[in-house]
Amino acid sequence: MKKYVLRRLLMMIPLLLGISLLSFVIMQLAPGDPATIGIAMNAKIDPTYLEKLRESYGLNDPLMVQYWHWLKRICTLDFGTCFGDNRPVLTVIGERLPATFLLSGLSLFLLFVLAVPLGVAAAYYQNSWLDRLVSIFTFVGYSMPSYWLALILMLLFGVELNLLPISGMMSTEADYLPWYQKIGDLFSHLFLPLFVTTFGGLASVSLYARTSMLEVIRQDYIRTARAKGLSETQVVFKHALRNALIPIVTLMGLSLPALIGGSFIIETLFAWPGMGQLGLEAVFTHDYPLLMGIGIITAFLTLTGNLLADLAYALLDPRIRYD
Amino acid sequence: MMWGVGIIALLVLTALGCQWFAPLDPIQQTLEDRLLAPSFHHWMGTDQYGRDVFSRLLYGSRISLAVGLVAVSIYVFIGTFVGAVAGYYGGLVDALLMRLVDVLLCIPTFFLILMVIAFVGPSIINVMVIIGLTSWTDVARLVRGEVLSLKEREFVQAAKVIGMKDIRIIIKHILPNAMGPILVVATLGIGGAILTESALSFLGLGVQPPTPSWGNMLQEGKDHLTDAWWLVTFPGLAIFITVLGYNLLGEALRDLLDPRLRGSGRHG
Amino acid sequence: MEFLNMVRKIILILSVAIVLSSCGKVDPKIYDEDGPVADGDILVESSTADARHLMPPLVDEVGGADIDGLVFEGLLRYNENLELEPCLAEKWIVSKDGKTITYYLRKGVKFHDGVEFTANDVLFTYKVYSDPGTNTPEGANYQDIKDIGIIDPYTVQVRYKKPFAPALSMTFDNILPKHLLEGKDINKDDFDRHPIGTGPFRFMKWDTDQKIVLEANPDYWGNKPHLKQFVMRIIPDQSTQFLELLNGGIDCIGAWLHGTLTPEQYNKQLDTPKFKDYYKAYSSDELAYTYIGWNQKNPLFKDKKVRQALTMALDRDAIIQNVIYGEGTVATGPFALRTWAMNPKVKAWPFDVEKAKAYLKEAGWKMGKDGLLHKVINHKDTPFQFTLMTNQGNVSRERIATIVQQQLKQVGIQVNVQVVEWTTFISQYLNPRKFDAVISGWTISADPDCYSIWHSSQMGEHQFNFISYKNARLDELLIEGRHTLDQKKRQKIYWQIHSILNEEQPYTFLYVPHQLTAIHKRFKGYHMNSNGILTHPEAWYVPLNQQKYNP
Repeated sequence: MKKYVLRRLLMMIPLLLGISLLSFVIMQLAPGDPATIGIAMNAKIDPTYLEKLRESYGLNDPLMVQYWHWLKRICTLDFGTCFGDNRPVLTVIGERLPATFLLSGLSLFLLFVLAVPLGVAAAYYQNSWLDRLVSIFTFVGYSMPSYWLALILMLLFGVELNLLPISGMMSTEADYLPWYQKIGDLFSHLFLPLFVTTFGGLASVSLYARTSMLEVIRQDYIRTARAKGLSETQVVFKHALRNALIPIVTLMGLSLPALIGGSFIIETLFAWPGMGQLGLEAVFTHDYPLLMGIGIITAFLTLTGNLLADLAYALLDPRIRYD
Repeated sequence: MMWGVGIIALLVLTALGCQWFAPLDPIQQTLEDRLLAPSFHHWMGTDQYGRDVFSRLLYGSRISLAVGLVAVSIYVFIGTFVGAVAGYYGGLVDALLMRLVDVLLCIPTFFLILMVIAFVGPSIINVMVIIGLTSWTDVARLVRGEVLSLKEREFVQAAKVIGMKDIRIIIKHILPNAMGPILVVATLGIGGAILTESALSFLGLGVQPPTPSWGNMLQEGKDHLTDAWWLVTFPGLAIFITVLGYNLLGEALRDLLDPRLRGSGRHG
Repeated sequence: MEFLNMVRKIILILSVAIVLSSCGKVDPKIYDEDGPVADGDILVESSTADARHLMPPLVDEVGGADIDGLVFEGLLRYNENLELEPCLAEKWIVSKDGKTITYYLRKGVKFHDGVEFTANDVLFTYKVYSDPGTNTPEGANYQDIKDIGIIDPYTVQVRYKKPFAPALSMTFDNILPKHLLEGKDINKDDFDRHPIGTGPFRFMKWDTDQKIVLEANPDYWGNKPHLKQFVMRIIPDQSTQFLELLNGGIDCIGAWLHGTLTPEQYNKQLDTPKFKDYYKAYSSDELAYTYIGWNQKNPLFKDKKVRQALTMALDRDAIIQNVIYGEGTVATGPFALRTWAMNPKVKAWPFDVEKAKAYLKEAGWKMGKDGLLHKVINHKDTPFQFTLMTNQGNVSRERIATIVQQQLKQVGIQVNVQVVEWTTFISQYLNPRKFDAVISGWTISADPDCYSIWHSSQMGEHQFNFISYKNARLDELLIEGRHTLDQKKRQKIYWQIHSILNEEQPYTFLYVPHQLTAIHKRFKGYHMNSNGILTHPEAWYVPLNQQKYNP
């Protein structure tokens, strides 16, 4: 087992290199350079300022040299500084990760807690009204453009009914509230973005859970268990569910890139200060160091997540052994 | 799920024939008629330039259909090619190609598409091509799996013994068996491509105005949530129903092709 | 089953928390009343982008500039009429030859950390801005300074190589504390995230990409601010921003920070009770103008008569009506409206299609069979057609392009519209001068100096005279205007500049857009005038019974 983990970790390195090269190449596709954005048409600006910026960004070096410089620094975990505000990329990303983790983590948790039982129940009671209801519900979630749902909910719950805040992480007065009210404030701000984020994922996860459960239920060992006289509960929970969960764990692992990248549009609409919004900003301002940093860190977290999911898979299914 | 088929049929008809169905010119600006509520004259109201929303919606269906079909065609082609080659030849080729797949899978696809479009410049062609170039990984894996399982079968061995060229073997014998799952993935993919295009247009990185696309109609309309609800409601519904149609169709195909999922669970 | 129970419990806790955190609703009628001046409350305004720097020399975008406007002060500042008035300098005297400005500084002013402000800080500020190692966009403004003399701790003399008129407004507008920054790396110091100035508000905290909080400076040398805090909330999406206004999450748009309601919002939303009951809206002129720039190197636009005809063929009032719902004023020159630089004798070219046609005819254009004007240029029969470009993401400009296309068709000119992404626009069309005509806009300041846009020496690749306009007389005037400090003489010069530009039409000046501001009714004590300038934030207050926040 240990050798397997080690091998996987080592494999990450060429993958990360590949990603960094890919990102770097993509960025060269852009016409103009980052110094031009936002500054170019300000007539009050000293013309040498643009040159100074370019020089400090290292944009005047040939491409391979730029990439090489960047690569050297990465080895010491120095991701450089953002073009935008000159702060270290790691610091900027670090500030945003908690917000995205909170949103995505809770979303993942809710998916597990809501979607899996729904899918399992639908499979168990296949073709019943429950099954059909779950199908309809999940299809709706799967097909709806999330940002559209976000806008409608904002309008409904925020402006019309005035029940929930529509943007930001905390209210302005939150700084002065007692801790329990602060938590309540945070949750009320979380509600809408969480709902929108989870709603879309519900469909695929519960569908997957249903399929997986259906497959398991048809297996011989389930029939055997029933024939043995075990109670339904035991059959379902002890045998069927455990096995059905295995591919679901993998699915969760695979949804990590989406979760970590954050939901770009959702975070921007709700002014939720996470990685998704940061990524979107970085793309629009052509902030190369930041984009490279986000790319690498996202990839790293994804690969780690996949590894963990595979390890969990091995733990759950004794038939799987890695060597 | 005949619903799915029905919806799709309606959509294709609309897309192809929108010039005859649309009552008014989708681009003509009649600035005196701005932001009119839905009425007899304008079934879905007008937008902030006085353009008829219903007509724009119809023309937008063309974009959606085009993007869906072209993007998916591109990535099915690429994915099939890569998966078949990797599965059939195995060894180093397989290892390299699968590593490429892994690299692509690490970056959230939408982020990748976003970056490339932002740098290359938005246009409908770019959107179609970029979605095509980045979304082939699922198809590749699928095809690879199918090829791997079929490669050792007798009819393939027999063909090899006869001396049939590899490509012919792949195309004539192996791929047809994989068609089913590929079709399912493709159908579901069309819905996904439409969602992606509308998200890109929503961000201003997709189809550029004045050409109507459901996504950019939403982007132009979101400033008027409180005073012109029709600008946001109808395009959103259009996207929703279209994608729903493709998803229903895809799932129905999946159920059709996978006999394992029929039969009861409870009374085994 | 345990799952479901757990879920139920979570939902219950959340609902209770949500109910607890929502505040009660107040009857909006009380906001219509005035009340006695009181201290307290917070003004929450939003910006679509976070500030990037708060260290004044490094600031190159509006977010940081706006916040610094509250935290830092200059030797002089503008009043509501866009005239200079004393700030950290009580009095200033310009020598007869215009080469020396003596500032008499205010005594007893303290930086936010309690240290007193003196002439040393002024000298230090100069050193920072003029240092080529500082990454500042404003270095050029200090170039003409020969040296600075400190006469006594409260008197500073700035000596110029040549008289530099914009000096009074463009230099020393953010005084830096020497005792905190001397010897530090200006480009990297933490001061950038924790600024300390002398202004009416002092920096409290910065939650990156969420908000910047400023609090009232109780030791301010002028009238102490009544508002306890100023909060800039970052809301990247413009429609979310407006929803937040309606929701009460923010108190104003376009008041102190840059930002504006869209013309549609201004026109359509104001009558809704959600808006009317809580907010007041104002329309004032922005310090900006939108124009069409004609590339002077293109043979089509070489003739002055043609450019005049083009301007006359455009119904600018209709453009303003249709593009921005009437929220704009026709522009005739590159100066802020209602300031001293505008020549009252300059009249806008009228909208006159017949006259336009006549001028074009005089310039040698004849109507062809295809409905377009034709002329023989360089031995080739050339139809009058060109590409009008503008950048993506600016809705107004795209609309203008379409209307211009329609209007010029009436006189036989074919216009092709091309909308290009911003960086592509700059790097592939504008900088290499590969364009026919562009629709764009400039932000201007109260000082009328526009040398960098019109002088023939500014036609280089990254410079701003990208239409390549060359006029010897204008060149002379531009230089004179920069170096004349006598206000009356300066005015005559700029009036002439205005005349020439109007006569020559190198740009067709389209309009000055309106800044559309919304402010919550509970705020009193501010003055919003036609220039849209809100000065003296320390005078704003909220009567006690109307206050919302209690920090």
